[in-house]
Amino acid sequence: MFLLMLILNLVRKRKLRENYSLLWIFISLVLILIVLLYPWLVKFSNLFLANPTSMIMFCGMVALLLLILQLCLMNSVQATQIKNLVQKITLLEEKVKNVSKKK
Amino acid sequence: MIFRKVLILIPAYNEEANIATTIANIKKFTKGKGWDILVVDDGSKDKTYLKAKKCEVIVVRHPFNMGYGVAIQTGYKFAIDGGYDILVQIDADGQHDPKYIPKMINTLRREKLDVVIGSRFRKKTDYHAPFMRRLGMILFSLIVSAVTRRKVTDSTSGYQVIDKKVLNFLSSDSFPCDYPDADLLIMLYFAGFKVDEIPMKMYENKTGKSMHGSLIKNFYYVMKMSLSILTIVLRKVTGLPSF
Repeated sequence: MFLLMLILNLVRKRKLRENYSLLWIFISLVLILIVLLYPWLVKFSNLFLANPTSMIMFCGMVALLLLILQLCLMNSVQATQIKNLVQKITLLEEKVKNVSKKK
Repeated sequence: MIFRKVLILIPAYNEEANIATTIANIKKFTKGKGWDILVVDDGSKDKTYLKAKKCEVIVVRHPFNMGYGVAIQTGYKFAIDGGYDILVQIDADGQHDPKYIPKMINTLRREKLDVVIGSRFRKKTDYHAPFMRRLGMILFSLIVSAVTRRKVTDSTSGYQVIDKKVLNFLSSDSFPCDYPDADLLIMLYFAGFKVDEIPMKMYENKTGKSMHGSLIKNFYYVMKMSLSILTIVLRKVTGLPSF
C-alpha cells in the first residue's frame, strides 16, 4: 500500500512519468492482492512445493528482473537518441559557424 | 578523370600531442588536390580542438566524449551533408601513414570497391602489437574470413577509404558504435558491399594509448564483439535484416 501511494505521489508531483510508473503500480497491486488473498497464495505455493514466503520472494525477484529489463530497454533507446542528438548538435554548430562567418 | 570530392576524416580524443603533426603529414599528400580535412574532436579534455583549429582544417566538436564509433559516424554524417564522394578515415595518433591515401583511393576506383582497408598483416611488416591484442586480431580476422569467405587479415584497422554509397548505410542506427570493426565488416558483406584490403605499414602508437587499453576493456571487447557477430549472423539466419 505504501509503495502504491509513493508511486502515485511521484506521478502526481511529475517526478515519475505515467508510462514508466505502470509496471510499478502493477507490482504494488499484485502485492496488495497477495495480502488480501493469502489463502490463495498458500494454495499456489503448495503447487510448487514451496512455502508462501519463498514464493513471495521468488515473485518479487522476477518482478525486479522485469523492471531492470524494462530500464535497460529504455536506456538503449535513449542512448541511441542521445548519440543522434550529439551528432546533430555537433554538425549544426559547424553550420551555424559557417553562416556567421559568411555574414 | 572526373573530379571527386574527397573528405579526410580524423576522429580525435585527447590527441593534442599528435594532431598537428598528423594533419601536417596528411597535407603533404593532399596539397593542391582540393580535398577537405575534417577533425571530429570527441569531447577531448586537452587542447586537441584548439590545436586542430590552428591547422586550418574543418573541426567539429562533440559536447562530451561519446566514443570512437560515434565520432567516426559524425564524420560520415558530415560527409553526406557535404556531398562528398569519397571518405578517407585515418587515426589521429600518427599510426597511419598518409602516403597510402592516393593508392587506396586508386584501388577503390580501379577495382570498383566500396571500402578499402589498410592492412598491417597482409604482408610481413615490423608492426608489433601486444600478444593479447594480436591474438584477438587473429581470432576476429579468422571469424570474418570464415563468414565472408574472403581473406581478411586486419579486421580492426581504422585506416579506411569509403565510397559515398556506403555512407548512408554507416550513418544508420544499426552502425555498431562501440567497436566498429570485425562486426561491421560482416554487416557490410551481408549488405552486399565490396570490401578489400591493401597491405601497408603502420607505426606503433608512441603514447601507448589504445581504446582497448586495460585487461577489463580487452575482455569487454572480446565479449561484445563475439555477441555482436553472433547477433548479426543470427539475424541473417532468421531472415531479419542485418542492418
